[in-house]
Amino acid sequence: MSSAPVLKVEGLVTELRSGGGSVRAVDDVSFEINAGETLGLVGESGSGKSMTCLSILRLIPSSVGRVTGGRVVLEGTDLMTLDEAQMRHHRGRRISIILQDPMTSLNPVLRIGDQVGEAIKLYRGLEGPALRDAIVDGLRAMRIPAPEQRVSAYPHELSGGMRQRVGAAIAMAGPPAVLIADEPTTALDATVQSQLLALLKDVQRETGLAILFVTHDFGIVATICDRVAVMYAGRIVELAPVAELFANPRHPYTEALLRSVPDLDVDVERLYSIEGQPPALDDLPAGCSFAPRCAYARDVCRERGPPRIEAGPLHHASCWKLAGYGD
Amino acid sequence: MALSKGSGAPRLAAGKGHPLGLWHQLRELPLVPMGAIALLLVMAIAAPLLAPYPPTEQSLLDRLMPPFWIAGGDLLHPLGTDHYGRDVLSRVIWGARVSLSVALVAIVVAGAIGTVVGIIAGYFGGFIEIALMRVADAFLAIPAVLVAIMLGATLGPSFENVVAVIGLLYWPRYARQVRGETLAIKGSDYVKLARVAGCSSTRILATHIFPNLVPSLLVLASLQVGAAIILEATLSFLGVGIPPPQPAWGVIVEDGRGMLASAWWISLFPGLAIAITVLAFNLTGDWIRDRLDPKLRSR
Amino acid sequence: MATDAPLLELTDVRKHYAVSGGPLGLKTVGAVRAVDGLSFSVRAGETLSIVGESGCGKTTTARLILKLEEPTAGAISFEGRRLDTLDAAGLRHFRGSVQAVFQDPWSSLNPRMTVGRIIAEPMIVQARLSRQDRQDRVAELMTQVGLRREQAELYPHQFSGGQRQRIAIARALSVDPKLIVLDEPVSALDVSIRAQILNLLKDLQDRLGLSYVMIAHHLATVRHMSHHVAVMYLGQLVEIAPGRELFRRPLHPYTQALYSAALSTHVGRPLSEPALKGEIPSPLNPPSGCRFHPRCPHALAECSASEPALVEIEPGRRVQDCSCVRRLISAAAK
Repeated sequence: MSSAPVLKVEGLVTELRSGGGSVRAVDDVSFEINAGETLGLVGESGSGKSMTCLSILRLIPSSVGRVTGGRVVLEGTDLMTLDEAQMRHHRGRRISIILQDPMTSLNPVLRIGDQVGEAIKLYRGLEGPALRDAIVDGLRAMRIPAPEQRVSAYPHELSGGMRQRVGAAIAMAGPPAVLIADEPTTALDATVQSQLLALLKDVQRETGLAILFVTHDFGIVATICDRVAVMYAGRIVELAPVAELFANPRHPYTEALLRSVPDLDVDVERLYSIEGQPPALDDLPAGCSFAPRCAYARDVCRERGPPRIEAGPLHHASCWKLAGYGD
Repeated sequence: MALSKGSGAPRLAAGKGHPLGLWHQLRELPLVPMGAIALLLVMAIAAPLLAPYPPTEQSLLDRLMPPFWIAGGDLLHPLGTDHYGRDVLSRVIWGARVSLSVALVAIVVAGAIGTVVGIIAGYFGGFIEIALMRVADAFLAIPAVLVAIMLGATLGPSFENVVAVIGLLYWPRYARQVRGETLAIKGSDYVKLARVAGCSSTRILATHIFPNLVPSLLVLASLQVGAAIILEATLSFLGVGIPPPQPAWGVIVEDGRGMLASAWWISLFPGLAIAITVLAFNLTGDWIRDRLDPKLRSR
Repeated sequence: MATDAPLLELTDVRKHYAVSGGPLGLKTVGAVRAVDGLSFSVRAGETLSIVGESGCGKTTTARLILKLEEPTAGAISFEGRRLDTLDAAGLRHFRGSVQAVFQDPWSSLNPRMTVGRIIAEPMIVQARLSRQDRQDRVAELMTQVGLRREQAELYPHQFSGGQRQRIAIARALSVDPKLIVLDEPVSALDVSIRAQILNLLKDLQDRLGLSYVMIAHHLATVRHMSHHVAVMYLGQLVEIAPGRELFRRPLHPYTQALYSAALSTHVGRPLSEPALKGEIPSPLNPPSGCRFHPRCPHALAECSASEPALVEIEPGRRVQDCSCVRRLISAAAK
């Protein structure tokens, strides 16, 4: 594991078109991921976690919105300064993505061998028998049983878990330095989910892959992530090593979320519940976005955006409470 | 697309207008086609007031006058006259009344038959569905113009017959679409919950299924008005539609057919009216469809 | 609160769907055994949760209980009366006693009805109240589930997912039901909203003595909500037990696999990849003998031979009497 981060995101801002104006779906997001590390990106729907992934890959259609600020440095190259042709050279090859829905991320009319092969050919320039071997090896590396036969299968002939493994084989074709996993297990059954998570961990151990794992499930976070970033209304409100975050959450939102999730091994009479609902991006409250739902909110929280407080080594949170409410 | 998925979609305030919301919505309206439709409706309704002459009044002294901007033309007959000296502008204005009413009535007839058939097929399923849909398929396989000519020739040209022919030819499209949507709505959770609550089939059809069919029926109807106008014009042009001298647009085009080289204005203006009308209805229909498509609309 | 007579009872219920094939699609070539010999009961004031993976038949079971479908064989009884022999009055009583809340709050409310009408509809159909009483009741229900009564005039799209689920709950409550079938009631909701809805459901159960049959896949939620938990695999019950017992000591290998696949929110609990082989087979041609044996890490030779029956091993706890299960139990006892 090298110490220089393979992916460094600094002050990323993405604005989406909305009505006549625009809203900030990603607002000043910064984080880094080292080789061999898994960073969890946790948030609710609309918190901006998927938009962050698409922004990093520069995959936001111009009709939807655009990245208006920040840097995304992949292995020393700022992706935001590249032209589209150069970006295409990195996308897939050095940084790739697996998506949530294994049904729609594969082309239904192409055999899976051809789909994996297309990526390998493009990224590694292999042809003929070498390409065929690489396809079978790629499928085998994702523990797809009988890969020699499966290359000629169509996506609909595979189960959801197998399709997701094919998606992973395509994503690993580069092989990439960074893998973005956007809720890849949400559509899968529990036993299949843990098989896929175990696979990703093994691949990471073998290749030193850096993984950005997007999820809303704290069970996944606790199981496979090294560090966690919690997003709320487009911003990262807290970022910490995983054990530290669970043991010592500093942002009221993180704390409340953790308390509101039932646990498999612990009985509680009543779940802690966060009142209200996440704000709409085109109707964000002044000050801290979480203030209207926060048990600790005071006047200053509703007036000015909260400062970022270093809460420990590698641990920061943006909250007025941690700053003593500005006193 | 990843962007259309729930997880990726930005959360926007529901039901709250943007400060620029109303203006924005107005700007999105298809003003030109809707204006054209409004103008056509005014022409149809107020034809007796707007038209400078009765549509069938002949004036042999003023035969074959060209439009006013051409030598020999004059502002008394701005779009010229035909070979009986009838005023082309007046006939086009009255034609709007005839052609639009034929098309609209025919579409209502087709829509009513198609909706009933489609709902029954979609909701009750089984043998009824198979039988009804095969009949609809058979109708769709018929070459429309050919049958229209045969029917028109057998029944003779009249307003009612044109409506009947268009209605018979067009209902299967409604039936197919309504059946598909009925199936989808029937499978939705709110219909299941209605059954759990003890709602009868009649109630489910009336309060849960039909109201949810209306928007897409409007879209299909507005797209079909154009097609119906063309079919009506075709029939009239072929002499099996609206009987002359009633000024349906197709009839007027046919009137000028023999003189396209010398008196082109007789056919051109009703032809333009048909084209503009069809385009206006199609554009409006497209717009309604886009507005109703949840993928193109923020939730 | 629980009395001894079961409110809902399923006895050897089966639901098979014919699969057609042949060149014209007219021949019946087989049957999907979506539910295949299901027996359990639910008592008043209790929550029974059904867990299992896709294709296990839990959704079909919910539809059968709601009488949205008729079983191919077996009997479902509510308050001691069989559902397949109800007369019109009996059916009306049943429809007024059993309600449902579904997973997707976007498809479970008619987009063209006001919230007030959505909530009132079951009362209108059951024709219990005058118009004014109905409006009062709607207002009362909305307050009860945490909505404001002025919101009755709004349409569903003006609400968030969590609020929509509250509307769905208010509607279900409108006829004072005894049993509510909850099909994944919180899994489509944001994490920060789930606890609100789960707490609301528990409060309503305490206050109104409701029974719930809950379909869910999130085991921690199931543990929190349920008195009893039934584990289904390929249309059959493999284990049913009081919730805490089941999670403290899962007996059937499939229950154990599900439990180990459930991710705890405790950091450092290692990711244990379940020792399951392959994936769920098709319910069209389920494996012979114990349906789980092709994937079971403890399978013995005899497991493929005979179909195991459910046996009661402790009060309220039944498990499939498979050879490997017996061996596991006796091993654990030593």
